[in-house]
Amino acid sequence: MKFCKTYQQYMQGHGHNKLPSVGFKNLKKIIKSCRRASTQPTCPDHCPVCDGTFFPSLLNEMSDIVGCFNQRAQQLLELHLASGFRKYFLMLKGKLHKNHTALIEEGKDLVIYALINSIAIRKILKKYDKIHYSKQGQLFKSKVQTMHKEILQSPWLCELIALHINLRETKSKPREASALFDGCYLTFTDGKPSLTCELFDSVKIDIDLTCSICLDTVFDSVSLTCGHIFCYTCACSTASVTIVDGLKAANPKEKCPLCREGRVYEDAVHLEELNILLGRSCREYWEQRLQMERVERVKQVKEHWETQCRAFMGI
Amino acid sequence: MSGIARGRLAEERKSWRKNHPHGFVAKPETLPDGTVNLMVWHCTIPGKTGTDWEGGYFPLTMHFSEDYPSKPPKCKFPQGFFHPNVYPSGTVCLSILNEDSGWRPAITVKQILVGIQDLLDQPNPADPAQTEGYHLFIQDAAEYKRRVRQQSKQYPPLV
Repeated sequence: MKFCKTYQQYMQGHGHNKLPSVGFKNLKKIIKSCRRASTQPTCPDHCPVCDGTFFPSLLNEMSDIVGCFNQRAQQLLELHLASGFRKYFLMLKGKLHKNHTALIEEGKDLVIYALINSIAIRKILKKYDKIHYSKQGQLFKSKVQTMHKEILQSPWLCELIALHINLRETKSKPREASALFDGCYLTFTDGKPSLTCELFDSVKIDIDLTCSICLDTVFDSVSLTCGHIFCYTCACSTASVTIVDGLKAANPKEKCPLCREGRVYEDAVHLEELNILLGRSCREYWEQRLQMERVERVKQVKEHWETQCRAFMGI
Repeated sequence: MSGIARGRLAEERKSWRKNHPHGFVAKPETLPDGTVNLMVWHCTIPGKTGTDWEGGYFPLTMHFSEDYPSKPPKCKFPQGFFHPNVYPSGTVCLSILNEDSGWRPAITVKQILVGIQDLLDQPNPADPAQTEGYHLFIQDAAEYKRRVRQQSKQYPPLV
């Protein structure tokens, strides 16, 4: 079956959720009309027919998709991670009526939603480049990544995959996998972990869980706004801030250690579900790292208070 | 920060011992009392096959600061090493080793050494570090090649 049909069927099947999607047919029409309007066999590098409508409408759709996905994923994770008074409050509000099986299903649906939309976007941009004999589609993709509108960059995708594995392994037997979904796994290659998620048509994403600063498995993981994942302590060290001050105190000029993008620290996200998953899967390493981190944190807290006291006393 | 630097270097060492490019050597310094100093590595870079650098095994010392990997290591060939992008002191001038341009904490020791090996046969005339090497490279290709071959003979493999 052609992807366009698969995509439309999937989105119609989830029509009751009113989820934003890529206007596949509409975008194809724009490209076709451009092909007809063009007197040349190929479109120029900057095509007024396309660039005026194709890219702006695709950008709007991508913004809606990422916004919707992030919001729903956050809500779902909040439900799962809520504890104590917060859990009681959510129960009273009627938000916590979902059982674990329902949480698994919703998490899985959101992961599929993210992946299928990222494939749709990739395919439509490929089509654009093929028809125009250009690289505008690829350039647009890069531009979108710097604007953080690329769904695969979302830290919540990583969290949802971890949530899915956590719930599946601890709470209940998984249901039959849907036709689209082959599942999520935590895999180890040469002792290095990665999150693997497979979708129909052998589409597969791998999220590397090795911190590129300490070259070890991410511990107390944090995702910067560019989507790269590091240990919290490592991120603090490259942002030149103490653990006490935290990443919010980072200078906006500080860049991501991998992509060198600026302003990525202030809205960094702590990946709680991923920490739970790794803590359970690499117990020995986690304990060892926990002890090392404690020593480092105590040292930094001590230094912090000493400087505070000195400043207060005017020494 | 030193905790991070030493932890990272221990991982680098582990990774290197597991798998490293053929002909290269990279070992942390062993002090007279037998202890290992992870902050200084003694390396050897082989000249690329099929180039004038072939047959030479060039010694390089890497000095890591307590701020590593936020700051790049300082890489030094022996003093007076002949190459357009090596300072008279032996310090290598390479974009990925420059904190303000190409350095990223994700760059590994392996990538640095391979990058320097590439630089040997592909100098960057836009960023000269020594007069002699630069002038010969620009003005007298034959003499430049002769000097490179001569230097390669000065650094035979350590058996």
